[in-house]
Amino acid sequence: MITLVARFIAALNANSRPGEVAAGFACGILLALIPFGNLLWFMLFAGFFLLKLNAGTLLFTAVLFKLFIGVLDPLVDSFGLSILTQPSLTPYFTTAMNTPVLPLMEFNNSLVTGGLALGLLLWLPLFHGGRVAVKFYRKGIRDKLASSKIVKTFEKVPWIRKLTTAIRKSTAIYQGWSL
Amino acid sequence: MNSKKRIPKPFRKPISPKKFNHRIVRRIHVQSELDFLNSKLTQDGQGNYVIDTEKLGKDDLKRLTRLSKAIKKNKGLLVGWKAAILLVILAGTLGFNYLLKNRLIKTGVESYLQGIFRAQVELESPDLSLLAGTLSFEHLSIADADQPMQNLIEIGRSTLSIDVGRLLSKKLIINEASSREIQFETSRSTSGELPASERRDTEEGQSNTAKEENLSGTTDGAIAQAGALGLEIGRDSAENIIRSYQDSLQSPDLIEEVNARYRESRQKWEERIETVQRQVDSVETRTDQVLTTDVSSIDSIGKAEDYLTKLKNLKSIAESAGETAEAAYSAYQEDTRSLRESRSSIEEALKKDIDFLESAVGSFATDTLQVVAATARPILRTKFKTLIEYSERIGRTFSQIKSTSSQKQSKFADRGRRGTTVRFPMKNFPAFLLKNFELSSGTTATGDVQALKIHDLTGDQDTLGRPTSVELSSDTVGGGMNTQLIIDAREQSDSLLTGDITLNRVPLSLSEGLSTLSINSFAADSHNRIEINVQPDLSGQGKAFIELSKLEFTFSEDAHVIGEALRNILSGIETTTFEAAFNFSDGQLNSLQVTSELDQVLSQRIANYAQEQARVAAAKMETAMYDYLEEELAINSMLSEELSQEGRRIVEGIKTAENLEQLIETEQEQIKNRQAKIKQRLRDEVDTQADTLKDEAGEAVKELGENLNFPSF
Repeated sequence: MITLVARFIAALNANSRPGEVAAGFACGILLALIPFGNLLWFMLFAGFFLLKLNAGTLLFTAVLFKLFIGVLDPLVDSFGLSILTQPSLTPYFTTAMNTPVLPLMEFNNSLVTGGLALGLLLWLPLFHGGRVAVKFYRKGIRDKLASSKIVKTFEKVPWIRKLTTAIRKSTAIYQGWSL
Repeated sequence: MNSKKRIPKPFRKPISPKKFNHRIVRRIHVQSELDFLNSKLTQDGQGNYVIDTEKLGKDDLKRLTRLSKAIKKNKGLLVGWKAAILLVILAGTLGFNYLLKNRLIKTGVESYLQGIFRAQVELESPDLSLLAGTLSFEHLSIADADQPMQNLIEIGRSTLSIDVGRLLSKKLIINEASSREIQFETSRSTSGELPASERRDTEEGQSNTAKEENLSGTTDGAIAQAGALGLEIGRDSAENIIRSYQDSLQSPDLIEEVNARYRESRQKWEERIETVQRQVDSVETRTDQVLTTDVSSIDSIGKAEDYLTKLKNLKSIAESAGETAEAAYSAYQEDTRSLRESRSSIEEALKKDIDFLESAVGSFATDTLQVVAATARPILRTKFKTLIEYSERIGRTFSQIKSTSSQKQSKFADRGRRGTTVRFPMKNFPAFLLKNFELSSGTTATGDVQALKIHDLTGDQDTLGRPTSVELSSDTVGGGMNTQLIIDAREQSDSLLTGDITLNRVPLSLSEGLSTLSINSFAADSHNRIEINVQPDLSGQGKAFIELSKLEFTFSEDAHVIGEALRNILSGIETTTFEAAFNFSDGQLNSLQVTSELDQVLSQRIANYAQEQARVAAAKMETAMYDYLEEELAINSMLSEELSQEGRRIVEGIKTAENLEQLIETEQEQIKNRQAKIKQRLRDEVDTQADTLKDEAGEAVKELGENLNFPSF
């Protein structure tokens, strides 16, 4: 988890595209919305790793939001149910369910379909929002935060020191921010 | 120069402003890094950006190296090395698929089979598709190690296709498994011998030969039965038939019973009529005695009254005797009416017995059919025995391979998040399904093709929703066979097995077992079709349609009555059709009903023959019946006559009593007339006497008056 946090902080501060971090963030949210353990989740996970998006951000966001995404389950459930029960879509779902392999995606579960649909709908806003946030962070907060006394004090805390070491390892790749 | 070499590649050459903005500035996302780069760049005379190596320290070079890596990393949307691996995998798969795969299969299969058969093996155009789950080849030939110029086996286009997608759900769905044009021991154009070092003697296995069940014993028994029946009908022995059926006849016992009642009744009426007769005779005697009195001799009222009293008593006695006789006659009539009815029942029973015996004689045709059924039963049972055994085996196999699929919960399930599962109509598949299976041998060129096709073979037909169908066909130059079986083991199914078997141009020849029918041999071409329907409890019914053409019979010279009949019946028949309906259960034939054109012709001719024989036999039997019952009937008639005589005696007694009554009444009338005449005569005499007295008294008075001189005189 420390490594994930370190990789996320490193991604925020490294010389990587804000879009990569934002895409990792949006995709992480998408993976968090879809219940784990079905073919769709694994396919998305594998597909995301082929794309140039920040894996650290993706994993950190997915793990972090997975802890709290249950709060949204009633919304996701009703949304997914409204899609699955659409009469016009029933033939397609029926065909898909009777097609080999596709049922392993468990799209007949309202959380899977609802999570996928909601994640796709939110992807662009999250992506743009994330990109703006990263740019804003890098331009306005990053340097101030790095030189602040609070950070310097925290650096002396043992587990923060571990985190810092991890970030240094990560930044050995990016080296955008020398701590 | 050395330091220039260490400068990262993107910055070694002068960079145009456009390229600098597009490929470098746009890929640096940290302002401090951009500022660092700008501080190290200078513009040459052409406006291109160049790294000022003089300004670069050791740390700057390292930072520039890291920056160049970051710039390179920020290029594009795909991760290069991951995409490269994917591409390599794809290219490898495609290359293996199109270039190596089929060659490897060809080499591997040929080597493997050559190792087994120790002879040349040629596999043409093998094709394996892992994604489609298909393996096929156009031709496979395996040479005979002992006869190198001959193939052990040749197989034409063969395909094995498996539904790979369903394998993921642990269901083996074989879309097709087929091998066509299988031929054995075909000649080769080249030698199939392997190099001598690889040759090894092969051992040949022994094959078991099945022995056919000898049915001649049972068949002969049935035909012997037919012969016995025919001979029995042909024999002039109506009495024997009556005796053999005596237990079934009603009339003899009834006649005996009625005769006994006649005897009893006659004895009873003899005694009673004797009593009546005595009474009548007594009255007659007394009447005769009374009537001997001469009425004219009765000259007084008193005598007349005495006589009249006697007559009245006599009349009452005669009336009493008449009433007794009439009562006896009424009882007699009542008694004889039931006996008459018994006699009528005898006549009816006699008629029934005669009809029964006639029908027994006339049932020759029916009995013949029963004999035919008895003859065919063991044959058909033997023929269907194999089919039933295989049905049982298939049923057992179904039950063995039948299994229910269970869905396991994924161990990766996201616990705590359930959601709502929407059920869509799912087409279920059984755990095992062989959609199409085909084996065929021979080629159309040789005109000798045998094929076995199986569709939808599974142990879970309820899930599949379709029955298993089996098609077996054999086409030869001389004839052919086509069998279609539908095996339906579903729960709601009415029949386990429905079959349609067609046999075309099958030569038929019989030379044994027909001698009892005086037939030496029988030959024909047959076109047969059998429809069979088997229930889950292995009972069922079926129909067989048999068309015989080119019928040829040869008869023995010493033909008995059936043989003669068959010669006449069969000699003019060249073609015919049979339709046999049969029922069976527990593997045994329960009933067989055969109808056909031949059946109609035979039935008509046999019926005519049987009717003629039956008429003769019936006439003989009727005569014999009457002869057999003659004595009893005569006794019956005699007793009836005697009883009638008794009745007539009663009637005569009644008439006698009535005559006596009439005589007495006549006598009474006469005596009454005589009595009236006497009274009148006495009355007249009194009047005469009175008148005389009156006259004499007048005369005396007149004389007295005159004597006394009364003036009034």
